[in-house]
Amino acid sequence: MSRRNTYRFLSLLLCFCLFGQSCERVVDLGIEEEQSRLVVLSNFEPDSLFKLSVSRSRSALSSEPLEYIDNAIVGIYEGDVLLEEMVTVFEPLLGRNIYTTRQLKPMEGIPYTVWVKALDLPDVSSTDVIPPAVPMTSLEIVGTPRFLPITPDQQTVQVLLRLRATFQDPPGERNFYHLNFFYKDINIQIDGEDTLKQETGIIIPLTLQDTPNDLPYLSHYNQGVLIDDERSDGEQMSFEFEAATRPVGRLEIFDYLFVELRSGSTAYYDYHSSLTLQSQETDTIFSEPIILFNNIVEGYGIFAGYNTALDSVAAF
Amino acid sequence: LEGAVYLEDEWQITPRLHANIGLRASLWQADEKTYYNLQPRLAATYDLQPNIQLKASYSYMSQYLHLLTTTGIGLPNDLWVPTTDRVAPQDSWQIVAGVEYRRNKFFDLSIEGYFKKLNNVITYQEGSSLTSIDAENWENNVTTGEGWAYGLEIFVDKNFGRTTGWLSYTLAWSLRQFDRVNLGQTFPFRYDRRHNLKLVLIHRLGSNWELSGNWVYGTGLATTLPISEYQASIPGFSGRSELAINFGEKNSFRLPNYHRLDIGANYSFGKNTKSHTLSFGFYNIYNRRNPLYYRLSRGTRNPLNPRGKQYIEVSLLPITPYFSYSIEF
Repeated sequence: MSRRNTYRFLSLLLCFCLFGQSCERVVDLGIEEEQSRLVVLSNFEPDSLFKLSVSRSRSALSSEPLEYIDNAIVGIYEGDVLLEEMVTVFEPLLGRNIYTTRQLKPMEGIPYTVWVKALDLPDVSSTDVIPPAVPMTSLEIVGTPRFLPITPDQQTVQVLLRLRATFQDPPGERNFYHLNFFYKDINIQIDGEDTLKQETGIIIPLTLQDTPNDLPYLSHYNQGVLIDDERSDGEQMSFEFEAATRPVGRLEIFDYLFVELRSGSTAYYDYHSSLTLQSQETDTIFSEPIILFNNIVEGYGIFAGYNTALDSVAAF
Repeated sequence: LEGAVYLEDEWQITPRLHANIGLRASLWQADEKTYYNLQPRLAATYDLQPNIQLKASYSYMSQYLHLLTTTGIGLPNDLWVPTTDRVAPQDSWQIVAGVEYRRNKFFDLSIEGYFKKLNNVITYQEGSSLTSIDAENWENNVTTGEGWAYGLEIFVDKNFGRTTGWLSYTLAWSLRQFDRVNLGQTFPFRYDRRHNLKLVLIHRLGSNWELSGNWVYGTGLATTLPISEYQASIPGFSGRSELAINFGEKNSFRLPNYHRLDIGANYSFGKNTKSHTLSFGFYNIYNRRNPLYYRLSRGTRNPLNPRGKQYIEVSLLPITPYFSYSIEF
């Protein structure tokens, strides 16, 4: 090795050593781990029973399983008046027990309070209200639907179509929306020459293909789009999205396509938008933590109301 | 399009009282909007004694370029972006009051208090970062807010003798509030350092050699760490369940205090027309590991973290030698 190459090698070695030192190491920050708290999750709408989930949080450093709690005392109040104590029922979609009212259905404009007591954890409570509904103006299919073969025999296809939903934002107030597109699952039975259609009661969301993810749009982590009217107060809002069905074998199962416009309370929007942003965050050195909204006093989670307006269009 | 006019007047009001009055008028033409600003400045000094001077100033400033930076810690990623129809110019006003004491051939001492209010400052809204914006969409990914900075600065300067140097200490607060960061709540800014101390000493050895030392100490930067988590599975929402992470308030934790000692030596030589200086020394001579940030490691495959979740400290710049040569002519 020539002298020049030796110097070059030593320089590189020095750089490598310096980088090697400027690295990562496990540290004990000496931070006291947070005690577990009750977690309450509920979104409620008019004319549906209250439904609510109770669990407990765990410390960020804990790897214990996350527990749901079935033996909590849960009450819905209006002011100081207990309206109804909730009971547990099995929720097949979630595969576990949740809490529900037996008769009480919330109404628009009334502030409801939930109070939860469970285990030896601090009691928690929260209050929210259902805002007025904002009606849909129209739902249209733009252009001609396309059929994407999924199987080689082209018996199973996915339908791609462009949908346009329009509504009028009320002026002079801050509104938050959650726009969902879906169709109802239909069971088809052929009886001789007759085709019998029957709704199964299952709602199947349309997958939105090209939702913009800059404000005021935020593609919800689960389904649909969250919208804040801050920059378009009082305007007619029109949204056009490419949507896709699940792969299907028979097009007859599509009867109508639906749009649901949820008008959410501020808490509804803040929680869903912050949770959505958390779910979308990529862990890079440039990203910063997303602060999760919480409106449960002494606990975590969300208790928030929303109102709905529906519109539909014949599928094909 | 940017234009500005500035007027300034020096005014000796009394033999002891002196003022500097200025006014800057500026405009900025965005696509559709035109922004105008009148920015008054006033600075006054009063000679209490021949070696003691009181001073005070007020200034209002507006600027049409925004520094788009993060509000927490991590790698610095600053961008300069212009004022637009949607992003208004940022402005600030500041008041400063202080006293300066001069002890000839020994040292100067200055003590100042300040308060600064910033308006229309911008930052990335939560969920956005340098990697998620471009020239087309950056306005949709920023949020506008306010800032406050206030504190006290003490500065001692020794500029006589073979050993010179200065000592500065700052007691400071720096806060920010943005609509779409920390759920709209005020939080400590990334540069919110309660105590800042800097000591610089230079000792001349003859006519060619000079030794220097520089020690800095600062309160640890504010940072955000996860404190708890839960499964967000909401009744009525079929489909995905998300792991919800609770960070508490933004920047509610502190990194360890920052400190570092740099030492060096300068050797100067040359004639009058050309002077040469060779410098060499070490940054961070006692190899302090000042963390840049922490992150929570969740996996168990990481050899650093076989036991599961633990905090990982990321630090840069251990002891680092430097060498430089400069020539002046």
